[in-house]
Amino acid sequence: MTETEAIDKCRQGDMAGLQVLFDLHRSKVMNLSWRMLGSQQEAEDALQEIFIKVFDRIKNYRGDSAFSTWVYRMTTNHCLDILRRRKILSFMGFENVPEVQDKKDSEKAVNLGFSPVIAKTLEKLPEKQKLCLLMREMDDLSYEDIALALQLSLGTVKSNIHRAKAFLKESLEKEGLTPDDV
Amino acid sequence: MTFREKEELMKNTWNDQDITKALKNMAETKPQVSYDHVWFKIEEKLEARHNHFWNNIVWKPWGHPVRWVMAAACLCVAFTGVSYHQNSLDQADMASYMLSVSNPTANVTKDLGVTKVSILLSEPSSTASDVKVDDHLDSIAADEILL
Repeated sequence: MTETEAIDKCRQGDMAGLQVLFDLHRSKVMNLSWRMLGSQQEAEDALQEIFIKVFDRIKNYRGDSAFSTWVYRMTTNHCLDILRRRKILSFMGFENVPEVQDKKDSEKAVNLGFSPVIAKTLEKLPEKQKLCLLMREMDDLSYEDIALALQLSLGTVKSNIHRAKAFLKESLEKEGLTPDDV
Repeated sequence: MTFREKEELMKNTWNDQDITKALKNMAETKPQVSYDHVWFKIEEKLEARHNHFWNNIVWKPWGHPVRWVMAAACLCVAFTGVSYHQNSLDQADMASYMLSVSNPTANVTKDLGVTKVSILLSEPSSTASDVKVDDHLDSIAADEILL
């Protein structure tokens, strides 16, 4: 079954179509959620919720962009919602904040496959800059796809990536880290 | 600056390719996920949702800050309503108490052994005119009859 056929089936409420879409896009959605949320358990929950949302909202997909871009947009929005909720909960002093909040940066970084220094520097970046950089360099998305996924202009995406890289370079040099160390 | 120092500086300087390379290396680390298990959960949730209509309707006020504000506003309105109602009840009680305290005539007519005005007024007018004021010992009650 091709992606287009799967989308049509999914629109008719057929779960076989959703399964095909899940098999096609699951790893990319999972990786992005994992890097954004910093916890595998939360990323797995997000993966479930995102594909349930895909099933519910597929009628809104008009085919203007690639389906993967549409799913990516849904993923970033969902993860940003979770991060926002997490911030509100921690601000209000709720105890039910995911344990990842309490983990040290270095531990979290090792889990995500980041070098601790790079992870620390990435944490300092504004959310949108960090997302643009990770989507471009780690997930190999084109500038256009990132712009569509994050609902930003092409120029903003490029400048975000440029600024993020400049900030990373400066910080890593300040830390005395050479490219060979990473 | 000597050649060796320049070489050292070049080694320590990061360029775009280095950043890209470092991030690409890190991208190779991927989470170990059992996708079959995740799919099973998705299927389970979707099927459960089809079976139970009422499960769809779940209000989570903590889901969004706007909902927090809405919930707080609802509570505020409810509290104001209850306190306003309570206040109006208290005022009505107080008013009736004040009326009973400040109306001596009403109290006097309730005294035992005194003819009530209402009884006299209900009698035919011919008999009412025959009633003698001197029969009543209480002067306040007499005033009442004359009125």
